[in-house]
Amino acid sequence: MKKLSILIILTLSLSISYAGGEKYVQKMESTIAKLDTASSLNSFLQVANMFERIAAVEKTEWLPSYYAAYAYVIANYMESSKKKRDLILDKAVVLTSESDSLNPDNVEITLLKAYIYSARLSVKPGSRGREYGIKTANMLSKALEMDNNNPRYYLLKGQDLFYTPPMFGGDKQEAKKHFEKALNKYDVFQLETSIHPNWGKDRTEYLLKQCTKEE
Amino acid sequence: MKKLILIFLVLPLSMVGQTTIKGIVSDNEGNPVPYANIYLKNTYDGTSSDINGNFEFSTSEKGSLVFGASCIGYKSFEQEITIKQENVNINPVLEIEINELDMVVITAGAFEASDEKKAVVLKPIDIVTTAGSQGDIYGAIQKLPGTQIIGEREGLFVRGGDASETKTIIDNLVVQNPYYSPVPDVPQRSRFYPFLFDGTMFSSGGYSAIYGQALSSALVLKTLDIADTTNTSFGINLVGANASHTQKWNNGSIAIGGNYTNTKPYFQINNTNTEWDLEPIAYSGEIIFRQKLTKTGMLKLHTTYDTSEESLFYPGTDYVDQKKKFEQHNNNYYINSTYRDIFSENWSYYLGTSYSKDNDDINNGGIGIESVEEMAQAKVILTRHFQTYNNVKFGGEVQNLFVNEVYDTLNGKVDETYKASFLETNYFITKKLAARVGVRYEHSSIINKSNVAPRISLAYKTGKESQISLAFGHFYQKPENVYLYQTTNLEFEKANHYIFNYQWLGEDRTFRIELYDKEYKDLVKNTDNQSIWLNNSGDGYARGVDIFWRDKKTIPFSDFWISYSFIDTKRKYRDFPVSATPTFVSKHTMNFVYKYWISAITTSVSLTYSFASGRPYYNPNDNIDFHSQLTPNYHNISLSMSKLTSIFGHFTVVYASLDNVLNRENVFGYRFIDEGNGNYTRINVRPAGLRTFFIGAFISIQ
Repeated sequence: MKKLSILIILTLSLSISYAGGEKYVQKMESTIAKLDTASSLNSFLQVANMFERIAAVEKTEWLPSYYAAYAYVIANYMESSKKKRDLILDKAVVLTSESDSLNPDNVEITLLKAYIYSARLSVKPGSRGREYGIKTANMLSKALEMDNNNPRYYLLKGQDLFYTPPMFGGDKQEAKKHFEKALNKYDVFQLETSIHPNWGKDRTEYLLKQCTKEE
Repeated sequence: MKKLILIFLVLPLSMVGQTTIKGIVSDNEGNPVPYANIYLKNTYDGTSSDINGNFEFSTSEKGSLVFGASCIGYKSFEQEITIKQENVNINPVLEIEINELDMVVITAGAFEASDEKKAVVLKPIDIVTTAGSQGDIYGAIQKLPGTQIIGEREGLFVRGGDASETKTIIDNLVVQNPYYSPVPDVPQRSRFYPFLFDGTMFSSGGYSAIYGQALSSALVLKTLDIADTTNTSFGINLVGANASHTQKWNNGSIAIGGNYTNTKPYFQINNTNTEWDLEPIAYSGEIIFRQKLTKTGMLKLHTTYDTSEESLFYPGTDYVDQKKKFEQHNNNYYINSTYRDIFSENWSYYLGTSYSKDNDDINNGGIGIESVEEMAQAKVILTRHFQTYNNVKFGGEVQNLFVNEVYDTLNGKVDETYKASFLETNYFITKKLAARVGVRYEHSSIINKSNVAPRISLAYKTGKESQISLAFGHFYQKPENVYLYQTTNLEFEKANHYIFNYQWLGEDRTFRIELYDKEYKDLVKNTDNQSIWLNNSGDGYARGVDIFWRDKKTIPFSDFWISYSFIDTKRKYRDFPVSATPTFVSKHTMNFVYKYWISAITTSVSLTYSFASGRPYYNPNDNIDFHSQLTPNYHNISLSMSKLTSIFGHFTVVYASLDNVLNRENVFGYRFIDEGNGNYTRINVRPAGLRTFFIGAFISIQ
């Protein structure tokens, strides 16, 4: 019994005093869970803040700033003012480059960059369509070259094809094929760790439904 | 018992030093900041403030820590705090970050265009899709307030000034021949097409000390930087065909293009008022090169060469039914190169040089005219940046102009060196109040005179989306070459501008009203004195108001603008016997431009209605006061459409336009032919064509 108590005390003290590592993973897991359940503009901004706080502590980890940027990208779509959307995307850009400097040539970060270009375009499609359409396409091609099994590539490429007007190369049939491929890739995708990016399946399913609705 | 000990051991561990940190975060104007990031540096602890700026979180950290608060749109707040046992109460204040989008902008006299961050008015795509502009920059600018509708000549006639009072400036360098050479009653297009440019700033007065030698206004154009992609494009339309290839690499691009113009099909299809002998034919080529030489340095090179010829018969005024033949051959070579870079944390610089040579070989009713105009210039601008958008710019420029014109047996020459230096500061006194103060010194060797011109602008932000702006300045311009051939004993012509402007910029709507007063002095005047043909005794004034409303929101998928100008102007200059309104001025001018996007067929359609009240004309009959009568009012309705499509997957635009839909015979003025018996026959100065149709297509292959 005495041995048990000592063991318990040691375990408790160890788990409390051990910062970083496991604590980091736990913190990330709980914040990612909050990200998955966030639905309003403000909840996404709050989650972004949480990831920023983690990023400020974990100066060698690329994931916290990556997720903060991702949360800002999702948040931007919920903001109605164009000016504020650009400010939110500016924040996402800064965080993405921080993440990039910690883990260069990473396919998830490359895909996130493409997502940001696509979001920029959607703020002012009339004037940004040409410039950001090209930037999005180039960045997605780069990601595809890095890894042709990442489901998020097929989601983002499909999204691009879905929302781009046909006269600029949009194609809802092609988009549908990409979404279907994305779902296949999601099913077999192996996560490197429990906190590696795994988002997008719900969005893919939603967009696929939109494709079939339009038929 | 043992379980109890365990609980006692566990409890204190979980209660160890939990301190609560709470407070309210607000901005420097006293408003709460919702959803701000509140954190303890180097820990995970923190929270976001709620909608009222309140926050509360607990931490087990102890000792000296840095507490921080941050939010998008604000400067971050950090403060060292010491955490002991007690709860901490802290109310951070976040300073609002001056964002370019919120800042006050000097707008008096300036229409900033195509720059997303400022007062956006015109983008290149706006220019090409504006009905009645015929894809020409100057055609589109004529739909903005402050400009006169002049259908018989090229150039911008701004606020009572003639075309020579406006200068076209590309990448800070003056362009000597921005339009093709003049042809009687046929307005010429500009040599540059809209898609070359990233930024268009049309100043209707009060422009910066960096530019000079324009009494009325400056059209300041900035070319695009490195091309977006490698592509090959082809265009074909009723007046010719063009092709260009752009190659892009990591830090640069080069574009090479050629253009063949043959206006015969255009004049066959459209009824023209002009009697052509040889419809205009032109060939041109251009090279546009961009390269980033260092991480921050950009080299730009632009060179064009074009050659054109045309001949026509136009009504002479020597006798009734006289037809004079006008033949013209023209060559023009232009090159400009600029380099900009930063050379330390606070300094940036710009270097620019250009050279142009224009040759005209003309035969006008048997009189031979040959002219050569060569201009070389160099300019340097140094900018010292201070924190948050303040800066001081200074620099200098030199222009060497050589003109040789042979008119029959007469020979006129201009050989001149023009030097100028300038100093200007942009200073944000507060986020709401900005000032631009500058001075420009100029010297012209041919008249051997100098001048010093102050330029001051102020802008004050009256509300979130509105501001007022004031501008004042002196503007000098040397006399036109045609006067310098006769005598160089002349002064600079001068105009003093006083401008007041109010602007409201909503997210998709713009309203502008601008009042101005220009006082002209020292204008070149013919004298009655036989020994001094010309002097600078002329003067004049121009006063008026320009109103502009643009709306992209009220009508769905539509973008329209209304511009109205009122001007009261008189001058006594050149050969005017009395002070009078010049013939190129309409008292009231109105443009209504409407664009509608039909997304189902990816087509944009545009309608423009232009109105100008009658213009004065010279009537030589006796007992008629000089310039006292007006031509009929001018009305013009134009339609245009442009369709975006793709051919084999390549981006294609097809465009068509119909100008003067109602086929109205507008009259720009009159000419009088002396019948010899004291009577005069009057003929109309008409537009080059009535209802005219234009169609073209453009494809970009990547």
